Amino acid sequence: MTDKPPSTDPTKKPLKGILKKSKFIHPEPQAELDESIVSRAKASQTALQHANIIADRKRFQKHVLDCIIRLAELPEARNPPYSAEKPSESDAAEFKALIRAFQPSDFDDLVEERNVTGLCGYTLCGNPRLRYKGGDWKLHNNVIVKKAELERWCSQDCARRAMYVKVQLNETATWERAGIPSILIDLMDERARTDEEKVEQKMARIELDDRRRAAQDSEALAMERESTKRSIQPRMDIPIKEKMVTTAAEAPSLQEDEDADTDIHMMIEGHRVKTQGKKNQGVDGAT
Amino acid sequence: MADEEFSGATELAHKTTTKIWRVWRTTHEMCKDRGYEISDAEIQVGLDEFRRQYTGVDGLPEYVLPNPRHTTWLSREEHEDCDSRSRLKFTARPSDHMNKLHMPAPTKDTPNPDTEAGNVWVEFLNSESFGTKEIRRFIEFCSNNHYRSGILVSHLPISAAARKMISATQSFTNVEVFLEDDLLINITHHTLVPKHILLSRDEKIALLKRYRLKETQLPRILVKDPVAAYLGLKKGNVVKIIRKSETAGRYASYRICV
Repeated sequence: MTDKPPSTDPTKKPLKGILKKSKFIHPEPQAELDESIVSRAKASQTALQHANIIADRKRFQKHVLDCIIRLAELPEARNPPYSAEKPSESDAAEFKALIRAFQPSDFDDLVEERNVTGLCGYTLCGNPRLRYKGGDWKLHNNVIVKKAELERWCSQDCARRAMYVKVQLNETATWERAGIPSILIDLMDERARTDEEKVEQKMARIELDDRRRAAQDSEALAMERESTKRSIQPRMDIPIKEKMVTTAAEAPSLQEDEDADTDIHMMIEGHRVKTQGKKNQGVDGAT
Repeated sequence: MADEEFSGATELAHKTTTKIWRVWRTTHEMCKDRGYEISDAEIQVGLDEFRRQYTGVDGLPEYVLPNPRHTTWLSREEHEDCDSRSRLKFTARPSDHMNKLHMPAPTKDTPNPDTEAGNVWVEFLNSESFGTKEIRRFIEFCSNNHYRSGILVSHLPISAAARKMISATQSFTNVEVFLEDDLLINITHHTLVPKHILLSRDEKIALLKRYRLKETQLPRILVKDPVAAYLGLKKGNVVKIIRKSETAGRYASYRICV
């Protein structure tokens, strides 16, 4: 331990490396550090953005699940005078409000969930679903149908009502169209039968004048675009620069074209590959 | 006529008992293979013993649903009267080996982390429908009683909404659902099924280091693979699979769960 390490000996010259000095100049360490900090911050920001998008989707999925669970319990008013044809107003309003977020597949889940509890698949119907005895298939209106298909509803009317709602549902994912007010679901029994009724219904809907409607439409459109914009994050800034032209512009001459004409098929995007000619010469020399 | 019907019902009941007894045994074996403390005596319950313990006084099982003499399905009140599979439930503690197996990585804040393995609650579905209501009750029961994982064995397929609910609550309770039909026999006892051994975190790291691999470079096994479901594998777990080999005697390969 008494020996001094050689590097601390003041009389000796500092050691010199035998390697050549590299031409590459290292960037300033401080700048490198700054850059790494910036890139790290950027990376964490991107990660956070994506995490938020995923969290958002999960929230919407949970919302749809909650809606399914709630709608599986409807209707509240099951006794006459209320029926699937004439549901109580609160039930119908709740159904219309909650079903808006659904995709057709979610609607199928809802029907399945209601069937599990023994109810008719149509949300506003309080009747138990049909049960048939026997095998997997059933003759219905001279057509062989799967029994399970028939057993989803309490009657054909309810099946039709449910399909009427299902075809109005939007295929796009919930999180892409959340908050767009123009999605409204109609019930089959509310649809107008006579001309008078039709006019009446239309009159009821025209509560806004054209200008206000246009404003509302554009607002919905903006929201939709905004949401699509949000979903394709992160965006990058790509600066596009014009390349400076130093030489004077030259008119194309006929002479040049004639020269190039012989091997114009060898040109790739206006550029002639030179190695091709050399190779050919080599081959000629060998023969 | 009535006698015939009755004997038919009895026969069906006995068949159901036998079926449930086999499922009961496989479920115990499964828990043991996952590393829970379960004695051999618990697994090797004979059919007669099982009948005595879990069926009614007259030797008929209490779980004959739906009653074949009923032409319509049972009403809600009748359901609650029939205490069908309610006695079939048990809990198990993880063994020391399992505790070590499920040790998470130490971090700066927790240099000595607690194991992720915990008690398991196993129950047989005791109702004639399997929707969100049943699964919610089960999930709430498991989380309220601090079971780390719950296994629900059902005789009915699960509804789509209920399955979504399980995946939504996966972060705080680990609930698994098995069909009775899938547990009639223990698939791992089949000659063509090689031995699967779950690796601990340290073993996995050692393996990746030894072969200089990234996780993605390992062969894969799906989460829904029957053996993966049997062992309760999660995404990222690695299993060592030991096969018989004609040339080498034994051949080990590794798969990562995706």
